[in-house]
Amino acid sequence: MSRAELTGYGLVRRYGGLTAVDNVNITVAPGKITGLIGPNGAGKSTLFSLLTGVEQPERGKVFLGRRNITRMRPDVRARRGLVQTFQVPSLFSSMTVADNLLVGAENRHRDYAGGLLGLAPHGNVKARQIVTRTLNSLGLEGFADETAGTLPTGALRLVELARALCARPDVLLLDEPASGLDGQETERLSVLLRQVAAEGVGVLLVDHDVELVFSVTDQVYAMVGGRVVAEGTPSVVRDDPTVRSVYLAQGPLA
Amino acid sequence: MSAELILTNARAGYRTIEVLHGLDLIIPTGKVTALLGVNGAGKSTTLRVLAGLLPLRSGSLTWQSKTITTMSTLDRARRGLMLVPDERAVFATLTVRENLQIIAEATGHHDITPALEAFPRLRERLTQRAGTLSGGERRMLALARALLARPRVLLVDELSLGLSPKVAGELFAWLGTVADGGTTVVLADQYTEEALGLADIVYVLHRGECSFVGDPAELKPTVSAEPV
Amino acid sequence: MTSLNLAIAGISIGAIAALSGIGLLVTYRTNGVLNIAQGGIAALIAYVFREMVVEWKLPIWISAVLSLAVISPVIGLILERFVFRPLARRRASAAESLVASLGVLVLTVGMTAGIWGLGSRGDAPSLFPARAVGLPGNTRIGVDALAELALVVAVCVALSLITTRTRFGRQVRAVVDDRQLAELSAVPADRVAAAGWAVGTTLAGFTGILLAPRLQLTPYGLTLLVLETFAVVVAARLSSMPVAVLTALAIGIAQSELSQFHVTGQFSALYLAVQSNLFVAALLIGLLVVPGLRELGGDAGSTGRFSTRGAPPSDPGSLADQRRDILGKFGGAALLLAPLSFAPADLRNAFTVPALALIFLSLVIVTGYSGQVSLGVAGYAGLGALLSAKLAAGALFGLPALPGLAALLLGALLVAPVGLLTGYPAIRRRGLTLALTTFAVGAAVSRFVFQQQTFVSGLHVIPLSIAGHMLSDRWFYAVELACLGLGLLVVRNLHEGRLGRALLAVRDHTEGAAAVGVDVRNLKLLSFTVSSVLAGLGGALLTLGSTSFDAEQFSPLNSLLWFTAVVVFGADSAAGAVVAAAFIVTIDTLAPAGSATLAVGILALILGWLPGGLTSAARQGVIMLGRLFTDADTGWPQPASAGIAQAAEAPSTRRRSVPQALSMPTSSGTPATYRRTVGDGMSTLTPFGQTLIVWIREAARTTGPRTTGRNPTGRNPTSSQAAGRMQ
Repeated sequence: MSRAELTGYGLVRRYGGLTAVDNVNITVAPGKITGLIGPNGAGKSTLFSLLTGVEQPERGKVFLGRRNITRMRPDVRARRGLVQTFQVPSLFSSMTVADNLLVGAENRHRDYAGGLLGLAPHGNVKARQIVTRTLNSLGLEGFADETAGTLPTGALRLVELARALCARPDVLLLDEPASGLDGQETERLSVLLRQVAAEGVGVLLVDHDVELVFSVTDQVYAMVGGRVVAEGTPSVVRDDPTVRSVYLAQGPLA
Repeated sequence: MSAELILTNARAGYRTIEVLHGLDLIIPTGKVTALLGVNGAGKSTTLRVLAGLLPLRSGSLTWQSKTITTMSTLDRARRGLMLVPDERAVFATLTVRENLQIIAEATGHHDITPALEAFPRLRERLTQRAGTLSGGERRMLALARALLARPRVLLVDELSLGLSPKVAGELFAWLGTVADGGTTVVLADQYTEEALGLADIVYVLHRGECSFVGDPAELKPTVSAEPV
Repeated sequence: MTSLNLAIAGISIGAIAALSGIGLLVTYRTNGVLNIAQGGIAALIAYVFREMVVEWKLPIWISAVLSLAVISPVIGLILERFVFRPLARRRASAAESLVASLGVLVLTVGMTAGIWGLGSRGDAPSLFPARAVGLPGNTRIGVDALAELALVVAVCVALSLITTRTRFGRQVRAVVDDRQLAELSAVPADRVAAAGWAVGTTLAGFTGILLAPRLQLTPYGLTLLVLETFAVVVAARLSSMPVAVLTALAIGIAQSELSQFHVTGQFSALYLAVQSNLFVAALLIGLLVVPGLRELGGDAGSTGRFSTRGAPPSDPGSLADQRRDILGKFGGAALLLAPLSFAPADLRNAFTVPALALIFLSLVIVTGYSGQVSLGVAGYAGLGALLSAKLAAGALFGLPALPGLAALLLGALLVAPVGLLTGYPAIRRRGLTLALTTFAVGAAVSRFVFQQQTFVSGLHVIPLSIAGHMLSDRWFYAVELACLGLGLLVVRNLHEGRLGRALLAVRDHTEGAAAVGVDVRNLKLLSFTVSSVLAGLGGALLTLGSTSFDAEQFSPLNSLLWFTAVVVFGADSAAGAVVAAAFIVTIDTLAPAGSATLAVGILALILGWLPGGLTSAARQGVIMLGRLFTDADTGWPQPASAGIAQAAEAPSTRRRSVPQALSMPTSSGTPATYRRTVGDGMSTLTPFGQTLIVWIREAARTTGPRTTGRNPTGRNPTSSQAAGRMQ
């Protein structure tokens, strides 16, 4: 399976006098889980927004495969295969879980004018199949007809991930997917992420929980003050002196 | 040893995220209790629950064996349960003097000199707007404000955040004297030597649950034995 | 007149606008509520003052003290205590506050109209004597202008003295700086909020009393005039008081100065329009050109809270459901068809129902389905009416006169470009900015088109005829029903299938929808465009029904009333839109003028306790009754727990240091609330329905043995024992 790789070259973003992202290069390889760590204010969130298209870089380019997507809106990027989840789960709270997923699965059909005239079919068999398959593979069948707004946090996170998967991503960008989860649910999440990567999807994981990031990723970028201070396999980054000094305050790493 | 605050089976969170998954907590009277844990473990959320800024979704909170689960923030503050938040802990558009006056007047004391005696550096800044202070001075002002209110229970979020070790050390030392004066202190912090040194009892939070509670001395061996 | 004299003349109106602006800002900064009701309150106080002076013959100063020092602040205190404090307490969204203040606006306008009628009065007393005093250098200045200017200065000085010098003022500034920290510091923020309201409504009273003698006093006219002063707070970005005051004076003076120039030729009408409506022009420009208002609190432009119903299930429901659905539709159709058998006069009254229902449907699309606040719908409706009438009369761009029905439909379609154009600002705008922008567009269209002789003079509304035969009243009503049917069909298509899901996704979580590839921009444009066409169609029918184009019918104030009505009757309900139209028309026909407005206002305030609207409440009532009968034996639906809930119930394997010293149980992670939320069968209920279920269960538990018997937490309160051990 050949999926596209996400790359950012020389990304720069400033707010007033502060350089939030300072000349960062990053690659999210297909079939791999890439981690992004850093203390508060290190520029993780800004870099994430530059990749998803919520913000525009002042300098630098973002590529998905060979296509330059630097100036594309987030929804266009999503249709090209770059799908994100949010720190606060972003489910469509009045819709059922199945319909939430269906929105993701149908994102490449935009015959809105036809829909207005009542021409479009009610649903697409293929889209529904994708939804059913995804629900089953994540063990969410029982939730299919629940209204999303009533789900507990753990289920919300899973459903949001399922919805992202239904949009058939090449690259999945996850913003603190484990926040709000308890230990048990976090373990379950990391198992799922490995499954997703095994299917060829590139995953970028941003999280406060260094323990989780080191345990699940293949490649880690550590940011401090808007710059990448260390990159490599988890064991390399873990032993990096800068990273160690920054995270000393976070408690013993090993 | 008696219990000042008891939090039972607390569930709380923001919008769709539940941060505390049924937390139990006992804060002993007149002692320093430290809540430790990494970012996102639920330390700040716990303090916000105790101060009444965040409603409990389930569970209960008692203070001196009276249930205060639904008491408003204002009433808690008036009765002496006071939180010093980690950021936005001073009124940036007000002068230092006004910042101190506000809290002194609101709690029925009118004299701001005790604060200036505790933190002489603030005396030079009295007419300056709080927003123009340095990070350390702002932190001092926040603590000085809490001091003027003479609270029964003082909740302090991330005392050392963004401070140089020297300033942080001074503030921790000051907090120790406050506790010696009989005030119950609850401190949320990351793992720091100072916090551990000051605390009489330590809770370690992990993902909104309590993963350790006990004497600070017990904590060190336990933590280093924990596999990562 | 010299420039100086003109400037002096302009100061007066500028000072009044400044007072209004200061009042708005004080309320907004202390409460986070932009008091849209300012206009309604101003009109109410102006009428009260006039009543005291003219009817009761009270001396001016007693009337002034009573209305400004007693009634005005008391109104503010009542609003704070009974409307806005409860909202703040339950952390209601900014959108709810917006609707509440719209409700107060509608209520006060309704009260004024209900008590004093809609007729205009030219005898509003002036607070200050109508004399002029001489200034050095052959200039004269009116006492009123001097007094008004002095009042502005006095208010500014008083406010700044109070806030900088007094203890209460410090508390005010603390609350304005950071309300949460103020409460943490034991500062009574509620008292500050109440004071903010009292000052705001008092200044609203001043605005009303001072403006009233300058015009023919009508409830709607004065209210609208005060709403136009919102330009001042928009210029101040909702924060800076000096900017607001200076802008107000500048606009006032500019308006006056512009009157000395005379533009001839084709732009003369436009010039005159701009000159006499400078506040509206400034409001619109201020919102379109200058970026970002400094909004406090949440997103007032998202209306999710009022439209809780989801998409219709994508699978067809059970046979019983379908049968009930069809039954409901037949019932509604029968009601709408009933007027066909009415007496001619009643039938004419019913003309308004389908027309208004179409306008309401357009709001259902924008607000209910797409989640945007739209406070300018009357503008689209009026444009539709104007364009259709012109097409039918052959008066548009030299086009030949079109047959009635074609003119009607084409006229409505021609509104589409306008909808598309105004949809653009809505793509990026949210919150109060979006609400005010839509209002400003409606107000500008009203002032610059509907009230301009160039566009409306000599406009002759040709009664509808088909194939050369003029339609009888019955046939006209049938045509209206056909149009409404068309509208309902469009609305259904917008709510179902892929398109419906995508729209709902954008409404529920715009960023989330974009993140999975939903084309947010085009969907927003689509809903604005379609909505404007439906509104245009409704407006055209409204005008055909009343046989003349009446600018008052499309006043910006009606946009506010209509929006409020739609939210009250359920913003996401097509049926609610039809019912709301029938409700308003029925009350307006049977009861004195203003009653419908009053009723909508009251309902809007009740909405504070009925999130989801009346339709949602009624819908829930039906669902509950159904459940009570069908599920009486089995209790509430059983949990559909699976997946993560089961996974989480598995025994924990993670290592945990148990606090032996205290033998206090740490959390076992039992997902008790999972099972409760998933298992209660509440998932399909609106918030109101959920409240109702809780009540019914409480009642069942106290009166009978039929309880579910579920342990609410599944855990014993052990901490008290642990506490005991600590002692």
